[in-house]
Amino acid sequence: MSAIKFYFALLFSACLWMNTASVNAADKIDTTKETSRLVKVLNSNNDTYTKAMACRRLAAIGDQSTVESIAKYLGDEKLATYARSALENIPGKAASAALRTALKNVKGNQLVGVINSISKRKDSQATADLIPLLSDKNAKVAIAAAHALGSIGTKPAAKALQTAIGKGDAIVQREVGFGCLMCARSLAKQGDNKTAIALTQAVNQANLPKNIKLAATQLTIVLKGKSGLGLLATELKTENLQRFRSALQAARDLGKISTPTLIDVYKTLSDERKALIIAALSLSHDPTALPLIREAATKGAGPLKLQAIYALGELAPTLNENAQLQVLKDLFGQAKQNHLEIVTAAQAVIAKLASNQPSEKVKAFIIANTNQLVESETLQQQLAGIQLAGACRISSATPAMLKLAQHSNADVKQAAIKALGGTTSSADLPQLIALALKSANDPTTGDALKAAGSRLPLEKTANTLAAAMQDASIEQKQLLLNQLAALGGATALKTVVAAAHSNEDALQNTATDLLGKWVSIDVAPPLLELANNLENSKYKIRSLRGYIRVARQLNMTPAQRLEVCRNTLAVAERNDEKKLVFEVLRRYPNPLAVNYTTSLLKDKQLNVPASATIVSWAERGTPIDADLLQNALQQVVATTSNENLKQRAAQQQARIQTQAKQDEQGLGFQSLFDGKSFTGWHGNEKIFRIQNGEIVAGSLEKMVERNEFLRSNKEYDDFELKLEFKLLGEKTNAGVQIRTAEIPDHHEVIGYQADLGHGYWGCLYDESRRKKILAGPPKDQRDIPVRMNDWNSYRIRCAGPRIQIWINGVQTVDFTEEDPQIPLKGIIALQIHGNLINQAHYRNVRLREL
Amino acid sequence: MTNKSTLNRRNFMKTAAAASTVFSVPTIIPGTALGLNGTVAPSERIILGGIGIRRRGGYVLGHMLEQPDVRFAAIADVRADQRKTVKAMADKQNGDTKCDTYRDFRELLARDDIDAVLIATGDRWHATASMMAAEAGKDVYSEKPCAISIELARRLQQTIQRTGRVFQAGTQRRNVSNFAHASKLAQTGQLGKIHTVHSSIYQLIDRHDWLPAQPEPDPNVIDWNMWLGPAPWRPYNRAYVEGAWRGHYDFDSGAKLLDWGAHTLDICQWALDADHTMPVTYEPKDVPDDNVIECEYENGIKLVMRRNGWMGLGTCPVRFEGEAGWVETGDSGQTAVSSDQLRASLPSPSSIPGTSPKFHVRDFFNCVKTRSKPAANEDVMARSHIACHAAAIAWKLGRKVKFDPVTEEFVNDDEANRMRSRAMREPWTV
Repeated sequence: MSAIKFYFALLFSACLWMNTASVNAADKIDTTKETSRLVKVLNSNNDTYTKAMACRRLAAIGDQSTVESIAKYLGDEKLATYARSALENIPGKAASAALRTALKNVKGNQLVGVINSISKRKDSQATADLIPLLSDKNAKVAIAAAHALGSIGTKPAAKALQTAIGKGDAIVQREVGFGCLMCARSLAKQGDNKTAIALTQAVNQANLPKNIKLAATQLTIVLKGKSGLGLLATELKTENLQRFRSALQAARDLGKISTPTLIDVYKTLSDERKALIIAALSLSHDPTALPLIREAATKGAGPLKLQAIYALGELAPTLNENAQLQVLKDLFGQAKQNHLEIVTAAQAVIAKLASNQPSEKVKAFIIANTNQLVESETLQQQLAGIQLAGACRISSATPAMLKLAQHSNADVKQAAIKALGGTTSSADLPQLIALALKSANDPTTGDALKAAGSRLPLEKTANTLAAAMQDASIEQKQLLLNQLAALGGATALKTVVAAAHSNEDALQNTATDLLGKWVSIDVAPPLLELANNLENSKYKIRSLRGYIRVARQLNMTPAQRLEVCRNTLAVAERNDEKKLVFEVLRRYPNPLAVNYTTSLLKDKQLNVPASATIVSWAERGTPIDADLLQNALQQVVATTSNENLKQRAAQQQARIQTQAKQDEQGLGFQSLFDGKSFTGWHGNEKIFRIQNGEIVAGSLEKMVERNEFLRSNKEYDDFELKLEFKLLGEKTNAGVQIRTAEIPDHHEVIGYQADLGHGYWGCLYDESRRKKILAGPPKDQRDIPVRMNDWNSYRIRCAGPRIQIWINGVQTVDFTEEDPQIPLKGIIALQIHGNLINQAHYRNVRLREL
Repeated sequence: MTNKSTLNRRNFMKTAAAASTVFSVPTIIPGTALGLNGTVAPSERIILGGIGIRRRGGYVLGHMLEQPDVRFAAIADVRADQRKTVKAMADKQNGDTKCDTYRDFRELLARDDIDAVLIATGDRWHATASMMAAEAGKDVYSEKPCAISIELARRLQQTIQRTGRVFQAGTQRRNVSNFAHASKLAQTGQLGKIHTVHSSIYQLIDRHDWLPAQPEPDPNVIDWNMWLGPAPWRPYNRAYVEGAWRGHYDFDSGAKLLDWGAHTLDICQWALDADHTMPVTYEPKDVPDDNVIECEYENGIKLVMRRNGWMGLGTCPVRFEGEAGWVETGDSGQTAVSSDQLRASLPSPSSIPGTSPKFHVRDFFNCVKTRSKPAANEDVMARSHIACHAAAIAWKLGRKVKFDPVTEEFVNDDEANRMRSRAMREPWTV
């Protein structure tokens, strides 16, 4: 069950400490061990960082026994916050008590922190200790105490706060006021509305800053409910804008019960405030407000009318059919007005209603009234009708629009063309295309065609546009290509690619430009093909840039992306395009990309950008397997001639190494090989020996006669094993046995092998049992993650029936055993294969049990 | 507050969703026209202040400055260069030199004339500064992620409520038409019964290391203590201030999951009419080169957070799948649907990308005036942020967690519950 836990733990070295927390009983033992280790850290002379991280981890796993060691840091300027995070989260009385004690020992800013932690824990036992702090000389302390009492929110806390009103300086008073309101909220939540209202009223009557009094009044109204409507009316009638707004907000919180009050005060107010009332009424979706809003929408002046029209749009979708028809009648009335803003508003609201799945009757009403406007003899009304026909997508209006698109009045003509974007159906599309081709330079027709295309059936539209290419002029073809590109899809792509291959420079120009912005990845193969084969170097380069852009911006699998990078580097002649490849690699740092980038270090020309990419990953804290990244950085240090990058790489490598060590320690990894002796192991020591702290097996001069295994003395069931290996020889074979059994008096063993060597890298082989590969990458891909003749990291994880293997961070196996007869426990053994002249090196073998 | 029936609203809406090819033009129209009617009297203007404004903040501020009824009066920033840049921007728009600058935003909040603030610091500051602004009586537009922990998200919501302020989270896609339309397709049953929604996230990073210590700069140039704010102490390094704070646990939200998740999970909640609730289980999946987290709502609908497998419709994509079809959309403004029938209802191509806060800031200012709730108000924000944090916690733990949307606690899970909050550095108090 903790498979993923592990996976992420490894990937994100920096957060490892978090992943070790307890999940099941078995892990709990580890937590106890870890807890005592962390307590030791806090009681030692470790540096600030180490202690900070110990506190952080204890916030997640610490228990009462850790409290004392953490509380020591409550007065520490740098560590107090870390300590408080822990104490705020550790359950039980000890943490609360430690914080209360600190109230007396800690001073200044750190005391404020302690009070805030008590506030977070809502520790009502601290009430008595907090009360005197309300009048502390340090305003920050007093403020924190007010907040804490507010957060505790009990009756005694409320009483203390209420008593403190009117004492102390203004800034503290403000917080005391808010503390009261916090208490009022929590008391109301507990059902004690009476005390809550008494509190809000006390705040309201006190000499406090106006924003608190406003908040108090607002809360009083809301808490009182129906009996607060009188107060609501008073507040709404006040001159003061802030009070009015605050009351409006209370009305909103009350919901529909406030409607009669709002309607009632409406007539007493200025137009400006009437408009605000109208907005509030519409938002409560109360149909009883409809008559008032309709009146304002038809008879109101200027801004009030405008507001009311929008309010109708807000209210209308919730109305019944008849009421909707009345509203529409009003709106069409307003659409005939001579006032541009009013007309625009009415149109927008009608269009909104039209888009809201209206009933047949409503639909018919909209169509009839729109047509009427279109046929109107008044220019303004006709224009309004045309715009509405387009916005409401009334397809029956298309013939009329096509006719009006030839109108002598420029405004009518433009409006009709625009409307065609909304009205044109598939059947009418050729006519709109013809219109667009006739005036290829007119953006209005182009936009209309685009608008139609965006909602009409995709392939059908594309075919119609592609067919129009046939007899078109170059300029017209360019327009059609743009339209096709906006559409996308298979037909569009085919047509644009064909244009890129044409003999016409202008078309090539347009087509390669459009392909460079294509939004689906099926554009990649044709772009590569164009980059390889076009003669014109400008378009060739453009195609290549478009090709690498696909990997940068569009969705691809890691393998697809890597292929694009490889292909681009193979084709690119200029550094500009090569650089783009590294931008892709930097953005998508999966293990394959890291290994690939590392491999590019060998290329002198590419060493610097590859180094920069690797260093950038490290500096940004990009989640990459620590072993993998460390190796990449090490290779940067070894290969790059750029001093700056070399130095930064070395710095990052040191950082990651330290971090990874700490993380592994936190996870409970233990070394299985001390670098000096075979303690804990047994096997043929003629074949297996220790050199330079490495385990070495086999020979490069003499053939190894038979399979030999260095076996662990101990058996393991669920575990994670990490080691490094290096295989030398022309043809190599070795591996790591897991969950394996010894065969008495025999050189062979029986069990799973995480295989290594030519043809078998990273495969799971069943040694002496089923004698076959159980899982692994496809044959031709097994070499990919391996650094030949060099050190590689190997990671093997066994949890229940599941076995997973990674080489250099790249997962090669995820296998689940289905045969219940096969044992899931056994020894670990390092192999050297017989019948080969080869040598295996192993080092840094460590394991943690799960 | 928790109205479970809304999740069923879709079923009844479905019958109303006749396949209409003629009528379906979704448009985002302002709920109110306030402030759009040309000139506004100076006394009726909203006076705005800014806290911590750099790249994203500058983009949002640009849209705010365009509003005829808004005047930007003051900028507070811990960086001298940013104070200068933002002042220049505001003065140019205002046609004077009156934009005030502060190093400490508390001075800005103490001003009586300021009605509202734009908060665009890094994540570590958002909730604290928002709450302090609310308590000082200001309405708040805060960039996302608005809270660095579950506990702060809820506390922010409560503070906004208690102080009677208007709050808008900078999750502007709630006011961008292609996202609105995609959500509408799901809400109105045009996709059939929804079974899975997908929310894109970016690469997750959870760093706990400290960059090498550098000498602290002159606080008049960069005020490091103030930059850290409520985050725990650590030694100064210039790179943090230049943006390298991202991915660091103390400064970032939910191992960076909220960077996109605060937007995309939020849109999924919207599409499902689930603003009153959130998924009840969160399970990280072992998918190579991805961070897949599968979540499930109480009614069985799945929400999948993932990095890969998107169609290429721009950043922050979402996808909704139902028994009758699917829709996918992203920041490019383009929308892909499963059938020509769904295609017929698509709005005309919009030139407003998903990153644009054009309508979102207007929504905010309208609500400042009408005291109504903007699209990404504190309630909406709290739920989607908390759900994102729950997902991030599941990912950090590497195992499935159960969450109770009412108590906002993980179910019988001490370990996860202890990851819901962190301490705020002394002496910050909210």
